[in-house]
Amino acid sequence: MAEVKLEHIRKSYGKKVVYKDLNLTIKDGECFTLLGPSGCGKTVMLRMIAGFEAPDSGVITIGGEKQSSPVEKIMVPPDERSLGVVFQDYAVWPHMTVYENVIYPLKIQKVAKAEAEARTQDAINSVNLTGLENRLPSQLSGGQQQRVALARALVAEPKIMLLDEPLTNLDANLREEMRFEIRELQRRKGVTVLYVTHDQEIALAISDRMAVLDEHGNICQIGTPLELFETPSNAFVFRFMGVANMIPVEARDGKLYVKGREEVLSASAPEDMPKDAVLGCRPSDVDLIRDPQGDMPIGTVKRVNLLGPIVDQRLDFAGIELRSQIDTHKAVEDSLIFSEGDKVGISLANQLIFDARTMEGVVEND
Amino acid sequence: MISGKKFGMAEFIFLIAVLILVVIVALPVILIFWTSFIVDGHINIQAVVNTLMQEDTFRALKMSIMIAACVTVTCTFVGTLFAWLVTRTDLPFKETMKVLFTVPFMLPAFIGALAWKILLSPRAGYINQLWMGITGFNHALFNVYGFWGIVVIETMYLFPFVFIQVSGALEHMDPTLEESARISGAGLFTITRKITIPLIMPAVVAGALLVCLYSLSHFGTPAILGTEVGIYTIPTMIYELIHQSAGSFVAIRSATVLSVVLVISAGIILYAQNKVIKSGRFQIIAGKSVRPTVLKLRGLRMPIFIFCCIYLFITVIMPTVTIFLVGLLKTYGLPLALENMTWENFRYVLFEWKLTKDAIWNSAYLSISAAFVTMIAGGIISYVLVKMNVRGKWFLEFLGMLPFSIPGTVIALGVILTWSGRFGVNIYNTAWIIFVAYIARYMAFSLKSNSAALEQVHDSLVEAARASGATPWQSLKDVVIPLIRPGMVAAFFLIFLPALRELTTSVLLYGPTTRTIGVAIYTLNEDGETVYACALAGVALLLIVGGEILIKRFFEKKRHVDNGGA
Repeated sequence: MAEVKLEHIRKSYGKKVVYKDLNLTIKDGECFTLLGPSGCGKTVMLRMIAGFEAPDSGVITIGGEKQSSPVEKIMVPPDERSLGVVFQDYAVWPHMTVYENVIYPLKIQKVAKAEAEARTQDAINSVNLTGLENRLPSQLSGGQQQRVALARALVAEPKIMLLDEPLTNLDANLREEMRFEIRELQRRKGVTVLYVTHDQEIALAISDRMAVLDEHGNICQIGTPLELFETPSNAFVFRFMGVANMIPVEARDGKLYVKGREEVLSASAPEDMPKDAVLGCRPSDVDLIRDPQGDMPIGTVKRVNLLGPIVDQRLDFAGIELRSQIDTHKAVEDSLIFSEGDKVGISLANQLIFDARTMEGVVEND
Repeated sequence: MISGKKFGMAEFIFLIAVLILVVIVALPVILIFWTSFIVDGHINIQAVVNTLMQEDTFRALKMSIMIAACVTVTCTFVGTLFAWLVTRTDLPFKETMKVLFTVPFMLPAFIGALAWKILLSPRAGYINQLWMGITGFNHALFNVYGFWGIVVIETMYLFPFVFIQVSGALEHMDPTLEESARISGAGLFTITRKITIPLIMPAVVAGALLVCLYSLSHFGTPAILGTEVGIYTIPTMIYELIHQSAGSFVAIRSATVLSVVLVISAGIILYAQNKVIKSGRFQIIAGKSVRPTVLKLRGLRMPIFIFCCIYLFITVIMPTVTIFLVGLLKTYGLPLALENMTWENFRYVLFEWKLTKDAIWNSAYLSISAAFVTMIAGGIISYVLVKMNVRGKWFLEFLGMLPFSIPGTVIALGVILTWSGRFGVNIYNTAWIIFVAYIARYMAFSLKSNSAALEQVHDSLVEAARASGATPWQSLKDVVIPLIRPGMVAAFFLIFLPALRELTTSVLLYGPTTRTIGVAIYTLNEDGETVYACALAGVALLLIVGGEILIKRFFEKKRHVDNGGA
């Protein structure tokens, strides 16, 4: 069992408090992602779990055994925590070949030679580096070095893998491929993975569960990728999960208006509307209508970008910029690709209402 | 595993680092200050002032400052001129010339001084004799003994400090800075005055300050060319005081007071240099070599080239050849003719005479062992400074700066005070005291080289090893040490070569059987054994040149391997 549990963790550097009271459980065998903006303390959390940093207070348990607990003066060093760590800067040892890098953890564990060699070859094969065993890291591309780091973390079959932005330096294709491979390896070996990133795309693709952290290190929401994407707990999570349109709104006569204007966004307003409210919706939820009718809200097309599978159109709506993204084929079929200056009707689906002051509290409005 | 124990590996290494620096470096300096300022258990500033105002000491002080000032000015001029010629003009064979201008660096200044004494001493000097023979005058062409002799000879061998700094700056300077000035309509003279000179000023000043520091604490040249005519500088005065003292407290105190002056000046100079280098960092922009605009020398091209060749001939070839030729002479004073030559001196010096054999052996094992120990100790200290986070690190950082600012003479005096029985250990007159002094003297090189290497080793490389299950010691052994090995080897050679030819420190510390090569050459010359001094100097030169070539080979091969892979 390799459940990772952080209880009442406090960590500060001088006056800067990274975590006030952090509680988090990563279940055995799951792929858990920490998603947050840079500087929010994701890496600090990973380093505390790895044992490179000690919390100021609180308890970290792995598989039921206490690893860090300042009160009890417990601090298990990283080499005794049975970990695989992949660092953001690869940290592949430049003086060792690919093979020497990967076999190192087994050498340290004094695994029998034949077995160690077989497992090393296995790990190298599993990250598609077969044939490059005798290269030095300086002879490898960034992506290949990253995979060496991955193989090295895997080879000892650790109970937990900690991955710190391991894919940031790869190009888009390789990133996708590696993301898939990490997921595959994790399923095959049943290892618990903690993945740290600021890239919501990877987080959504790879995780069983994920947590979103804000700039101050507070956990905003924990859940499955789908839960976080569909029902974000606050505006921060909503915005972090992808491009977002935010429109200030108010309720009048049971209808939802753009704040201080006459455009009606919805015929019904939620009952418990906050006083200062903001409506959020994804560009894909902004439908554009040629030849608007009645009192339908109207915007002016500002810019049209073809992004391949989707068309991205930016509109000036009620004095704010509104982005709309439509599937290219559908847009062509329904002739929904406009030119600059066109007046188009706007309809917003999947509306989420937030309190503008706290950015907290979500009401779904349909 | 339980943490919170008070004494882990970190504390252990930290303590070792502090201990090394305190015992080897700090204690001697503290004792020097203590001896000069504390009289009968009280601080006595008046006594210090009195000592400085004594006629002898005051004259030495004045002379040291004057020599250092003149040498700094002439070196700055010569070094900057040649640096400009090899980087910014169409001088023929520029690349070769650039290497040749750094050769005087390899020549120990005291061997140069010895050669020039042989060539230009007022009566017996070969050149002066030739001059008097040709012209019939009974006045020497140039008397190398005295103030100007010292200035000229020191300039010859110290100007590379400026040359290297300035040619580096000129090479790396972004040419667009000058080009844009030219586009704005400025003439070459205006560009040089308004753009180029201000930009290279930090490099010039940094080089000049190095020369100044070196000249202030340099023993060999003023000892060979000054002492004979009653000219003393601070280092030679200290030497006189220690040698005539026979343990007299007054003499030792005078010596410590002079040392304090040296330490303080060195501190000020290094502080100034640091400031200048920092201010210059942003000014010389382009990091890589770029092709600067080249001034066409036109009609002056060949004359200037010939001038450079003559300069190199006079400063490098003539003295070297003189050393070897005189080393071959049957008796000093004979004309330099083939029938007066013999290999006998070299044979005698190398295989027969115990004094010189001892000296070569002493220098060899002292420099190798000191280089080895300093390399390791510097590695440990740098590790703490660069990689570790322990309480009280500022103290170590402060201690780590000390070795950079202590001149060789001061170190010698300091170790005499420390290791002559005051703390129950008396190694005076043994090779051990020289060994300890070398470690203190060359610690700065080791710290510099090791720190630079360690800074290249990113923390995550060590953490990756820890996460792979390696203990701190295993990660040190498997990751850190292999990665900093080139830096450590560099440190070894950076110490070994200067230590091999060391004179300034060992001349104050040698006993009857512990002469080093430098000391042996110096004392043989003092005793009038000029041919043997030259033969030994010849051997030393061969060792030095051989060593330099070996290092170049080593590092070129290393670079080749590094690049070959990529």
